Amino acid sequence: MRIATRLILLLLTIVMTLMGAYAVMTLARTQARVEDELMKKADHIGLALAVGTLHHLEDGDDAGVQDVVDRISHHDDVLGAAVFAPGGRLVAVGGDLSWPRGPHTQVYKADELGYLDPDEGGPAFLCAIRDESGALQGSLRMELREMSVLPYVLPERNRILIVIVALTAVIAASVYWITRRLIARPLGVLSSGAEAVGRGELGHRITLDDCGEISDLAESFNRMAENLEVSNRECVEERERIRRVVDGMPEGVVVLGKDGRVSYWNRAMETRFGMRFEEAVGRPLTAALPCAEDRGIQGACQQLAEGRKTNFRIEDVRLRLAPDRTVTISGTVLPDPDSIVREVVMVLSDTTERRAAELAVRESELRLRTVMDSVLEGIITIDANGTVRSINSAAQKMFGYAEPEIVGQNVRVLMPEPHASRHDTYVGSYLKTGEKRIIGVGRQVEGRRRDGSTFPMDLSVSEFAMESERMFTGTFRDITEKLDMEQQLQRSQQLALVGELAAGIAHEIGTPLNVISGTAEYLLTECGPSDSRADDLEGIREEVGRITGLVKRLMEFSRREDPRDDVVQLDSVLDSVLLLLGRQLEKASVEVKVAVEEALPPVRGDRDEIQQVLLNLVMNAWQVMPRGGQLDIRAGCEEAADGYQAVLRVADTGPGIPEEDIERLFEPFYTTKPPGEGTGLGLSIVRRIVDRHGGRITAQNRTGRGAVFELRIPAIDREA
Amino acid sequence: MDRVRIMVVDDDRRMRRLLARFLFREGYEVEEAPDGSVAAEVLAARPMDVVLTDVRMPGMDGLELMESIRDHSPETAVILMTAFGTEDSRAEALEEGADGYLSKPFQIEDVVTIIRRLLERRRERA
Repeated sequence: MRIATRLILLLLTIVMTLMGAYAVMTLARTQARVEDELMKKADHIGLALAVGTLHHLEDGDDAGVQDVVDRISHHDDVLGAAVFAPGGRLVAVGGDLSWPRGPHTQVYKADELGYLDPDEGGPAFLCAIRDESGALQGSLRMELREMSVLPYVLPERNRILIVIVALTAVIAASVYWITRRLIARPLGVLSSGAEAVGRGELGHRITLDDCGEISDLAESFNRMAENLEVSNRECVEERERIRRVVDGMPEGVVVLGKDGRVSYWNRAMETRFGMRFEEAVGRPLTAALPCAEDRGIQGACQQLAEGRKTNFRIEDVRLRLAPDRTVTISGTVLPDPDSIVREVVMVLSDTTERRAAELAVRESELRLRTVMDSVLEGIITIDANGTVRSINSAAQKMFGYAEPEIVGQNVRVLMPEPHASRHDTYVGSYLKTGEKRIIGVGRQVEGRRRDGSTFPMDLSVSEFAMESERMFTGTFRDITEKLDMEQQLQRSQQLALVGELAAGIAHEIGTPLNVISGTAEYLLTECGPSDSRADDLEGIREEVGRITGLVKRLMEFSRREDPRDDVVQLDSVLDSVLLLLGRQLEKASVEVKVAVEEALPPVRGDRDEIQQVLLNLVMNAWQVMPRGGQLDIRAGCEEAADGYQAVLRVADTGPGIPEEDIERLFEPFYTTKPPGEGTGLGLSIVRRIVDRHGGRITAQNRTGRGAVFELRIPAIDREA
Repeated sequence: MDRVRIMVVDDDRRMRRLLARFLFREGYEVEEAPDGSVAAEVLAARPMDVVLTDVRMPGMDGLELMESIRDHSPETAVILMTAFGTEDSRAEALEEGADGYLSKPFQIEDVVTIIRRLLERRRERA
C-alpha cells in the first residue's frame, strides 16, 4: 500500500475516532439535557398530579382521583398516568399506559421523583404522594411522551453530524493534499532518484524545494549520491589500476570463481598463453587451460576451493597452447570466512629461461665438478667460518672421507693438533688483519686422515668472494711419496758420498797398508821362533787387517746389497724423477720436453736403482746447462738382435763432451767437472747399475750442440 | 834350469822393494820397474816369466803394460794388483786377460802362492 494512502487512512481513522468521541460526548450531553428536561417536566406534572390527587386520596374519593388523572392524561406531554393507594391498589388510571395493570408493590417517597428503567418496568416516572405530616397517602406512576423534548435535541444532533462530516471531508482533503504535496511527490522523486542511483546513474541529483525535511533529505541524498559517485569513481580507478598492475605482470594470473569457472584472466595469459580474456572468462578451468587436466592441477584447485589445502605449487608444467615453454603454477585461495567454497588464484610463471639458466648452471657445475674430480690435486672450498663447502674426489681419496661426510663440517677435522683447534683463530685473524700467512704463498702442512693418521702435503690457498661471501680454496697434493723420494735421493746421495769417500780412501790407502802389513809379514818370516819381536810384528799385521776389514765394510755399505727384481715402467720412473727435480729444473730455466712412445715396454730390475740412473742422467744434463737450456727426453721401444729393448735418450743443450773424454766417461773417478765439484763416481755407478740390468749406456755429442746419453735395457718379453 | 824371473812393477817404491825382497828371498830372480813404460823396455830386452804389476800407475798403466806383454811375449804370466778391488773388478781383470789378480792390501804369502800355481800350470801345459 502506498505510504500516502496509508497515511491518509491512518489520519482518517484518527480524525473519525476523535470525531466519534466528540459526537458521543455531545450526544451524551444532549441525552442528559433531554432527561433533564423530562425530569423537570415530570417534576412539574408529577407535583401537579400529587397535589391534585392528595385530598381525593385522603377523602377516599376515587372518582375525583380519576378525574384529575384523566385531566392530566390529556396533557400533550403525558402518555399515561396511574395512582395507587398505599397498599398497592390501583386507584385511577388514565391515558395509554404500557405496564400490566396489577397491584403495584413499589414504595415511593413523595418528595422523590424516581425514574424507572425499561428493564425494571419502565420507562416511567414514579412518585410518592404524602400529606403535610409526611404520611404516605399513595403513589403515582407516570409515562411521558419523549417526543415532546425532541424539538430541543434534534437540531443539535444534526448540527453535530454535519460538522463531523464536513470536518472529516475537509481533513481528508487537506491530508490528501498535504501528503500529496509534501510527502508522496517528494518521496516519489526520492524513490525514482534512488532507483536511478541503484541503476548506477550515480550522477542523478534531486531538486526538491520547499519540502521541509524532505528537502533536507533530498540534499542528504544528493550528498550521499555524490559521495557514492566519488567513492565509486575511486573504486573504479583503483580496480582499473589493480587490473593494469595485474595485466602488466609477466606472470599469468587466473582467478577461479566459486563455481569453479574462470572469473579473471590477465593480459599475460592472453599474450603468453594465447587465449583471450573474453574467451576464457566464464569457462571451466579445464576448458580455458587444457593443461589443467595434467599434473593434478584441476584437483589441486578443487582442494583449494574446498579449503582442504591453502596453496599448491606445481613445477615444469607444459601448456598445450605454448608447448615450448615450461611453467610453474602456484595456487592460493582468497580468504572468505563466510563461505565454504572459496575463490582460487593461480599464478603461472614462465620458467623456461630460468630453467634453461639453471640447467646451464648445473651443466657448468657438472663440468667444473668433472674437472675438479679429474685433477690429481685435492681441492677443498671452505667459507669464512671454516665450513667445508666442496671437496673433490682426489681430496676425498687423500683424507678417506666421502663427500657427504665432510661437507658442512669444519675443515679443522682435516688437520692434526694443534692446528685443528687454532684454525678458527687463523681464519679470524686473517679476516681481521688481512695479514696473509698462507694465502698465495703455499706451504707444506700436515693433513689428518679419517683414521687419524697424518700425511704431509703442499697446500696453497686462494681467496675469492661469492655473492659477498668470502670463500677460500685450498689446493694440495699429498707429498708423502715426494718426500720419500727426496729422502731417498738424499740417502742415495749420502751413500754415494760415503761410497765415494770409501773408494777414495781405499784407493789411496791400499798400497800403504799393503806396505805396512807386507813389511811386517816379511820381517816376521825372518824372526826366529823365539824372537820376541814376532809377536809385535804379528800385531802390526793384525791391526792392518782390521783397517782393511773396516774399509771393505765401508765400501760394501755404500753399495746396495740386494737389488730387487721388479717390473719397472721407465716412463713412471721418469715421471717421479721429473716430479722430484721439476722445481729445480724450472728454477734453472731448463725446459723439459718428454716424448714417450705408447708402446714403451716394461723392464725387469730394481726400480730404485733405475731411478738413480735416470736421476743421474737428468742431474748431469741440468748441471751442464747452468744458464738454462732444453732437456729433451724420449723413451721408446727398439728391436735389437736379442729381442726388444726399452730405449731412453736424454739430450741436453750444454757444451757437449770433449771427444777425448767420451770413452772414459763411465770410468770411476773420471770427471770432467772442475776439481772438487764432481766425484767421478756418478756415471760409473750408472754403468754398474745398467750392467747389472743387462743393459748398455752410451754417450755421444749431438750434431750442433749438447750431448745425448742413450740407455738401453732389455724389455720383458711380453709373451712370456 | 834357469831361475824363474819375476818383474815387479809399482809406482810405490816401498811396495815395489818389499815385494822384490820377498820374492828374491823365495829364490826368484827379480827385476823392478817404477812404471809400465820402463817395464816394457826391460821386457823387450829380456822376457820374464811372471810380471806382477799395479794397475794404476802414471804413464803406461798396468793394463796397457799387459797388452804390450801379450803382443811381445805371450808366454809371460801377468798378475794384476788393484787397490781394494771388488769381486767385479777381479772378474774384469781376468777378463782382460790377466793370469792372476791381487787386491791391495794382500798378504805377501798370497803372491807366492799365486806365482807357484801359475808356474805349475805352465809346466803342466809344457
